[in-house]
Amino acid sequence: MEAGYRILEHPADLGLEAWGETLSDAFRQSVLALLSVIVDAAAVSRQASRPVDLQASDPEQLLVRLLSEVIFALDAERFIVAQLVIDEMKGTSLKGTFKGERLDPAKHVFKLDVKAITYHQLSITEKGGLVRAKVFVDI
Amino acid sequence: MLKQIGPYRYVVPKSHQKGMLVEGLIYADETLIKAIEHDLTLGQVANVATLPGMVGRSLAMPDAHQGYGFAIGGVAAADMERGVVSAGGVGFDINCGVRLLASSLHVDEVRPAIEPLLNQMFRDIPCGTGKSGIVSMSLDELDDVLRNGARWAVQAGYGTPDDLNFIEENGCLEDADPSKVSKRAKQRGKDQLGTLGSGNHFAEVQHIDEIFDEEAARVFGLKKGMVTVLIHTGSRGLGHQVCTDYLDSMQSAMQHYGIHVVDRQLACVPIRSPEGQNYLRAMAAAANFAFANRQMITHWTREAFRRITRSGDLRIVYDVAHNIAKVEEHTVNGKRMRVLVHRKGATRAFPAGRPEIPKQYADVGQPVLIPGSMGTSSYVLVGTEKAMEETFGSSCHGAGRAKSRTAAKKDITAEELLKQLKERGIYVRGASKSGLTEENPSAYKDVTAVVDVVHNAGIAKKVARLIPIGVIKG
Repeated sequence: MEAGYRILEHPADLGLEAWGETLSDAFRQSVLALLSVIVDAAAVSRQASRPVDLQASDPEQLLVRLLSEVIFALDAERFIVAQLVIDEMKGTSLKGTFKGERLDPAKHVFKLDVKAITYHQLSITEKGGLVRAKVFVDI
Repeated sequence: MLKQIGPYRYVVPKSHQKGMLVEGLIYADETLIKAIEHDLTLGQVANVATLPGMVGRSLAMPDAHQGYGFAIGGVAAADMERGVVSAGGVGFDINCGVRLLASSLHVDEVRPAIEPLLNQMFRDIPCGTGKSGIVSMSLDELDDVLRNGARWAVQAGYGTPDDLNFIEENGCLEDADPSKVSKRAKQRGKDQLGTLGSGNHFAEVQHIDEIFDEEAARVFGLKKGMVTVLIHTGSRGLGHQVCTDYLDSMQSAMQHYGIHVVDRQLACVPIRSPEGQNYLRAMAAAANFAFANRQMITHWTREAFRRITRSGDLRIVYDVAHNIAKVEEHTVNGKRMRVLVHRKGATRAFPAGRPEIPKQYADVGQPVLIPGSMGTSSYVLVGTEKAMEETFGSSCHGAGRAKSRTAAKKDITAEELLKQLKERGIYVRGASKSGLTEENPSAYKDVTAVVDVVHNAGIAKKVARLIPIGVIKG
C-alpha cells in the first residue's frame, strides 16, 4: 500500500490518519495531512527551509511534538510547513528540515485554524508492513 | 448504564467503568441525552471520574459533547490536598469566554445602520486565521499583560477602571506568573493580543427580545429592545501553546507521581506538586491575556459604535470564562472544603450573596452568559443556590456542537447561509467562507433546549433572550 493520509471525523474537531512503510513515511504523511486541513496546499511553495530537531520519550509523543512544531512555525514565525524532509529518525528523536513558505495573506487561503495537537486516542501501530499514525487536532 | 434520577438528571454509576472514584451526573432532557449517548461523552465523563482526588460528581451540562480527554461541557472538582490538575481539563483555549456589553440604544435606531456598523467593527477588530493584531509589543510588555490582564488594558487606554468591576475575577487572576509561560507561548501570543481569532469566535450585535426575570434584568440593566454586543474569544495562540507545553510536560511528570490515565489527553499532576503549581500560574497568565484581549475588543467596539451610531456608551454587563480551573470553597457531602474546579466548556454560575460577584449584583446573583450558534439566540441567565449544591456553582456554556465540520459544510453553501441570515435581518461579515459554513446553526444543538434544561433543573435561571442583528466572525 502506498503512503498516504485521510482526515477523520470528530464531532468538534478533526483527526489525521497517516500511513506508510516506515515510521518516517507515516510522519511525513502526517505533516501533509495537517497542511491539508489548514490551508489550500497547492498554493504553498517548498522553497524556504527551517530546521527541525526533536526528542521525545516515545514515538507517539514525538509525533505530537512534530505536529505542534508545525503549528508553532505557522503561528509564531508565520512559516507554512508544506513538507517534512527527514535526515535522521530514531523513533524517539528526529532531525530534518521543514520545507515551506512564509505566510502571504494575498496568496494563501486558510481553511481552519488548528489550535493544537492533542493526545486524545493518539496511536501509532504497525501491521502487515504498514505503519499507521492517528492523531486528533483541536480546532 | 445511565440512570435517570429525577427531572433532567442522569447518573453514570460508578459501576459504569472500573476505577471511577465518583459518579457522573449529566443534565439533559430526553432529546439531548440521546445526542450525548450517541458520541463518546459518557465515557469521557466516566474517565474524568477516575482521576485522583475527584470529589462530588463528574458533571456534564446539557450542551456537552465529545471532546478529547474531558468532554466539552464538563465540570469536575478535585480535592486541593489529594487531587490533581489537568491541563487538558481546562483545554487549549484557556479562558475562552464571553462578554456582554449593553448600549443605551434601541434596536430600531441601530438596525438601519447595521451594515456600516458591522463593516466598521470588521475593519477595527482583527479577525481570522493568520491575522496579526495591530498592537505590537515586546516580550517584557507582554509579561505586564500576563500579570495584570484587563487591568493592563485599562491602563493602556482600553476602557475605564469601572469596567473591571464587571469581569469575573475583576479581569485579573492574581496567581499569574509570566515566568511560568514559555518563550514559545509568548512568541505565539505577542502579535495576537487584541484579535478575535477564528472558528467559533465572534462579536455579535444583538437586541433583547424577551425578559424572563424582571428583577434580575433590572439589576443587570437589561430592557426589552435594548441593543447589546456579545464578544466570544479567548487567549489565542498564547493559551494554546501554554496548554500544549504543560500537556507535554505532564506526560512524563505523571509517571513520576505514579498516575495512570486511560487517555493521555487526561494527563494530570498533583495540585500541590511543583508541576501542578507551575501550570496553574501559567494558566492564570494565559487567562489574563484573554481578559485583556476581550477588553481591547470592547474598546474597538465602543469606538465603532461612537463613529456609526449616536452613542459609544457600552457598559459591560459581565465577562465570564468557560475554559478555566479555579480554586473555590464548596460543600461536598456536607463538608466545607477547598477544591480545584475544572470548567471545560462550562460557566461559573454563582448565586446571590457570594463575595466573588460584583456588589451591584449581590442581591440577585452572577450573570451567566450563554452564546447561541450563529444566527440563533443567546441568553443571559443568573446563578442559583441550586448550582452551588449540585454543580460546584456551574452551568452550561453554549449550544454545543452536534455535527462534525465536514457534515456541517455539506448542509449549506456560504452564499445560501448568508442569504438566509440576511432574510432574517442578520448581517454577517466573516473572514473565511469555509469558517462560516462550519459554524452554520445546523451544526449545533438547539440553544433554547439547552438553556431550558439548565433553567428547569434550577442550576441557573433565565433572565433575558438576545437576538442577533449582525455578526462578525473570524
